Amino acid sequence: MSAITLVEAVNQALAHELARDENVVLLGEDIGMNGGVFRATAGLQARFGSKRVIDTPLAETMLGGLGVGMATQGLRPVVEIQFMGFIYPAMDHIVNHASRMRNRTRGRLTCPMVIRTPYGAGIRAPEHHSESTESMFTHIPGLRVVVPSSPFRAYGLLLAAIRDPDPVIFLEPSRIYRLIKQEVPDNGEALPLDTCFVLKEGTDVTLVSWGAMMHETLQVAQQLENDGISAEVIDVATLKPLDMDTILQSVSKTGRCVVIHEAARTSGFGAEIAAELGEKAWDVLKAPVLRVTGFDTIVPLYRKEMQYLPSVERIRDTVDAVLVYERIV
Amino acid sequence: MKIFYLPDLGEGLPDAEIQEWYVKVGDVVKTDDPLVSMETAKAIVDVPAPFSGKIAVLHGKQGDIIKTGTPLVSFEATGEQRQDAGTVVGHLESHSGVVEEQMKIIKSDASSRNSAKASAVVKGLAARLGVNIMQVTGTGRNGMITAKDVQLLAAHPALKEGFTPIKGSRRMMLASMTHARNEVCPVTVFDDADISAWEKGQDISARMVRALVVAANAEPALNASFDAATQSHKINKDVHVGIAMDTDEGLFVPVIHHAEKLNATQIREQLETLKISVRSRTVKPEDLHGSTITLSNFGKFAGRYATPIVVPPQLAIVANGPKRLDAVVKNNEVVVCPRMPLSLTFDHRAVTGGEATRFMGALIQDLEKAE
Repeated sequence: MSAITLVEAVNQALAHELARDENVVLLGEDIGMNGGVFRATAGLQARFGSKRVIDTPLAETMLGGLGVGMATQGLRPVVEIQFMGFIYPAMDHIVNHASRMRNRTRGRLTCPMVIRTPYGAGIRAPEHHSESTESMFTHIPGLRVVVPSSPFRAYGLLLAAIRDPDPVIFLEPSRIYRLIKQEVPDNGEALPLDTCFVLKEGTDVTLVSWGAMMHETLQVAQQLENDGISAEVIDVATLKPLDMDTILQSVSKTGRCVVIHEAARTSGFGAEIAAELGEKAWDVLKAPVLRVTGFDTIVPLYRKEMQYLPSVERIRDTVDAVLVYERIV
Repeated sequence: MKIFYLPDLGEGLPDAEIQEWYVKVGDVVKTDDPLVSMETAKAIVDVPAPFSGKIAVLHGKQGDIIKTGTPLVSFEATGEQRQDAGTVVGHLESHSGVVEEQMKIIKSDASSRNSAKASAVVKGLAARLGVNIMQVTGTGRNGMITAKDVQLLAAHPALKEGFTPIKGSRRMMLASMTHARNEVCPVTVFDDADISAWEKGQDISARMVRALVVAANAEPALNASFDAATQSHKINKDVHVGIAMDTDEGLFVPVIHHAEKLNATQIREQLETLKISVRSRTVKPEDLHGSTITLSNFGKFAGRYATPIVVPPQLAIVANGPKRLDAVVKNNEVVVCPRMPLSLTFDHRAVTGGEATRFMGALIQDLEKAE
């Protein structure tokens, strides 16, 4: 078994579910014949046919509606939105219908659809291919928001998302689509949703992140290790529903927390985590909870793009800032 | 097939005439090699190859007019395959090498916190008050420990196994002795009074009280009151003698006020009254306050000398043991002599050894009188 990239892991998971469950249907623009602009669905139409892997017209509102319609009538649609920047025409279907279907019908109808979309900056593309607006979705009750940060977790979490009976927004960080390779056995084993993953255990500070920023966060953790500081690294993975217990347990141990996300600062999901920590962990916090985030601006073009994204240096500076605080008692 | 369209040869010229081809089909050219000379309305210009490649088609012959923007030369497709960039836009970085990663799911037990739920401020307060924060029960939101909770435990620490709280008058003794210990700098002087001259029927307590009055007049420093907070003292002309009484209920010290004005009979009367009122727990509060000096007759069961405790704001206390027959040297002979052992404790913060021994001397002198 060879090692595969994150986008290949997505392909592997989709193929597995298409084979396992005849109700699974893929929809999206350029996903069938072209195999997807990032090759996420390469080879799937050839293997499963054009009734299972459907090329749609360029119409995201329709994609949202198709997904809701199929899902409520017994299919398991996996809708690809080509870039997160194109998801907004489908917001009406996502927010007004997909997230509310179970509640509205008192459980008679559910909406087991997955919307998967590449997101995030760092691929030298224009602003509408670079945003990270997960907060729009974490804010909506009834929606699950899942963000893998490695090939292994992309496979397991996508399986879980497809099998889940409720709508999942599955955000694929395009910057790390091909960045690393991992051994990902195609065994159909789903990873649990609604739980954080501790990628590194430590005692001095808790670093919380998700998506592509996991890559920089782990680098900072290694740097800290070399400097004799033990950082605990948590991959949130499922932003909503948030597994606050894992984060609280970690912060009880370390007393310090830094949240890293590329999304813009204001109302970023880091604010939610910081508020929860302020409420539930204030007696064990040795320092304020700090966030390293993208700026409250439109994602800039290539020349400034890497300044926008939280860099290793910027993350390290913030961690150093929380380490300065000491506790006398 | 790559098509090279005739570019604008200058200032929006609509077309140009092919003058002379420098290349023919099948030629391989490099970027900027001259392909053809074209005559425009203004001049004759050479048109260079925009990229390298093999000539496939020449879209005109000598003398033909080619419109700006229409095909001029077609090049063959190059031999290399077009790389699949794997993205329709931008650039996706990739590193070689396989990454190993460890990943843990914590089955968290949110109740197992190894620290008490209290803010840093409250923990600081607990440390200052000497309270073990782990023993405090929190009454705040979600069991949070508040400052009040800490203060409550400091004021009322939790009982240990097998211990019962001390109640009643013993609490008073506990309080005043603790206070005395914290404040006073005690020195005790021991001596004996030779009472061989005493006439029959002398009341020991009454004699002791009178002797105290006499000594206080001789050396008022030991009858004074002392205020440590302001480091000041008050000379008392009146002698109010506290009488230490040990009862079943505990230690009481009722006061014979104005002992300097009383005779022996009156002193005895007062003593009896106070004794009865103390035993019956009807003693009035004013009878327990205001003493300027204290007397303790402790020797009912055993004990000769002692180091009695001075209780502020007093500066002295006298204790007498039971009278005993001692072997004493008198006139170079050992004789049997009845004596009263005496212990005087004074607070050396405000009383000197000289003052104390003079007091003691006067006390003994009066005690040794026949009546």
